[in-house]
Amino acid sequence: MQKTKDIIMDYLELPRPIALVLDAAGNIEHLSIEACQLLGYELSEILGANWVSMCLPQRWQLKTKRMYDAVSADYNEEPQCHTYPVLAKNGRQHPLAWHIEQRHSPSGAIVGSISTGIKVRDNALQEKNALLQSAARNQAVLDNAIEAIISINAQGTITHVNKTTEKIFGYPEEELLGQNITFLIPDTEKPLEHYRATLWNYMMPDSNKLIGINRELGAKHKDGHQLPIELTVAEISIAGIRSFTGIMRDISERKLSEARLKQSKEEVQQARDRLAHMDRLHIASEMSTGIAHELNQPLTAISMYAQACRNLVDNGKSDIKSLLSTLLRIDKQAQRAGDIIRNIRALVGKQDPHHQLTNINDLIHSTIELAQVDIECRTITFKCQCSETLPMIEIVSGQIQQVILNLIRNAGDAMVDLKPQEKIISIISEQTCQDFISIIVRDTGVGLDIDQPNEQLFQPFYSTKTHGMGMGLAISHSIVHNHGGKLCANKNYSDGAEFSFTLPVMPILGDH
Amino acid sequence: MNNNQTIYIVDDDPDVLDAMSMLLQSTGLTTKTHHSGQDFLDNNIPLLIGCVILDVRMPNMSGLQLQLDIKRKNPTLPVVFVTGHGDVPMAVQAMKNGAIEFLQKPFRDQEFIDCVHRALYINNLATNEREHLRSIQDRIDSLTKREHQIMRHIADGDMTKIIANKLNISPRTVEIHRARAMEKMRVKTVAQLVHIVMESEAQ
Repeated sequence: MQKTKDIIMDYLELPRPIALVLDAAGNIEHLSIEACQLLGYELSEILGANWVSMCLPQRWQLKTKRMYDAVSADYNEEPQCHTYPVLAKNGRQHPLAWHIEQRHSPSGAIVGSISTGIKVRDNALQEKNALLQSAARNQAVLDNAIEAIISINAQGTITHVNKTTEKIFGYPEEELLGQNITFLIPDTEKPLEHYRATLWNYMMPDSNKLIGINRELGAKHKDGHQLPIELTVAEISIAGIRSFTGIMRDISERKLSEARLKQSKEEVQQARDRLAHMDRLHIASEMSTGIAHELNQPLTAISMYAQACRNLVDNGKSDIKSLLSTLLRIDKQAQRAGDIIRNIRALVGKQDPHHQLTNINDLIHSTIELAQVDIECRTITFKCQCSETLPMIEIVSGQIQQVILNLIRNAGDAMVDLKPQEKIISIISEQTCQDFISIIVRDTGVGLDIDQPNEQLFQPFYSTKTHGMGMGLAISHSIVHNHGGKLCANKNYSDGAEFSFTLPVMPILGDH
Repeated sequence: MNNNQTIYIVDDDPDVLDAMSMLLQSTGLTTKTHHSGQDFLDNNIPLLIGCVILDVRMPNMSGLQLQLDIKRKNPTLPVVFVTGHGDVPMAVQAMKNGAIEFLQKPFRDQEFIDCVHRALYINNLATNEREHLRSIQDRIDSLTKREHQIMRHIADGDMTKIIANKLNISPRTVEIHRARAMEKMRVKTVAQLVHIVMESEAQ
């Protein structure tokens, strides 16, 4: 009880400094009142006594005496700080922190020392407590983190794990400690040795740049299932011993939603492709009479040339020369038919959805050729102003061809009531700025309704034509947008309609 | 077949034009090719003998338009249509306007040749008919006013005496004029004379 009370008193008592003046031999010349109170002596009782042998516990005496001797002997002795306990009259010990200085006579000779001391309560204990508390706090933080936090030494051996590690990986702490980190993060892709090398790379001091960077790795749960994690490594060096703390986040959820997002993006892309394909089929069906006619031409010619050859042979009028020239013509017609079929297949077939390096001017010319399969288009005069200095660009050429074809066909429809010589479509390709190529399609037709909002033009199922689905511009818009460009109508152009679209010189891959 | 007959082919597709021409030439026919309606119209249409092969759909001037133009200028010149994609109303219109045939590409070559031959035959008949009528007209034109007058009365069925009465001349004079008219019209009997007059007046 008494002891507890003393401790409490100790804590409550305000620490007041005490002063001690010693002569060169270490005998007490003066002692402050506080010092007398602390020690429990009357001043008279103690003056002249040797400080070290009277007021210090036995085991501190020798060490402290040497210190005082040194202070009193050396001219250059700097003020010193020491901690030593004093022994009170009642036998209790009080730890004090001392500031000790030399005392000089007016002539400058060392005449002893002045010490000021302040009670240090159980500071060491307090520090330990604080350390323990802070450690407990840290542990609580670690354990409640949503990440698994694993410390390993330079050899990769696990030295510490938090509670979340147990939760994420399914192993209790004791099964993990002492294991190599590869136990938790085996690399399924690469051989173990390679993985170790990778880990080592993380951990080498000169690969600091890797440390702290988030990396996605495949880990393994106790039940055997793959666990995608994101790893951040921090290096800690204590007293020259390097250790590493890996912070691992379970990213299964994220992976799952990423996969879902990717899937839905793919589905959107597929739907877009299907729609574009439908539009091409629609164009093809609109053009089918033209296509049939176009295909019939060479077939008819072939058949007639062949019959002509037979007639010549039958009549005995044939000479090899004229037969050969006719055969050449047959061959030419067969190739013509083949070209037409190739064009049509490019139009109606499922398209390679990949970007290819394309010369946009070649694409414009081949699209005009395709458009002219339709006889209505053949009365139109095409004027091309193609810049010769355009860079090749990476596009899905079939899709861009579809855009140009849509614009040409719209232009053709807008000019249907004009006289043939008035039907003109101008196609201009140019590089408008460093990053974009622009393609403009103009006609001399009825033009656009100025009051019509631009957005409506590109809405699906919006059409001013009697035939047609109203999908052409909507799909073209989405194709161009998907390429990172922009399709728009220029209402300022008054001689007809003008549509233009841009394409980036550097492809913007992926989805927008 | 008449050796003067030429087949005029009008098609904007140079390959098909060439093939048609070559096929027809290989059967011994004479052809002339035109790449457009306008090019064809540069001919002196009324004088053409033979037939025309037209593509229905050509830029600038459609085959149907050209057909009407030809019909107006030379009704004896038959038109055969060839087309890669003729629709029914177009074919009906072409036939109403007097086309010989409306052939869909690709057609069988023999069908095409037969068709051309039929057109040439029709042209031949029409040409002969025209020649015949022209010669009748020439003969009629060679009659004197009195001979023509008396021939008209004979064609109406009047007897010699009635004609003499109507014209207030003697029957003998009527008979002399009649004999001379029959000679000029190159007929042997009165019945033939009546027939030829009716033929000429049918036009």
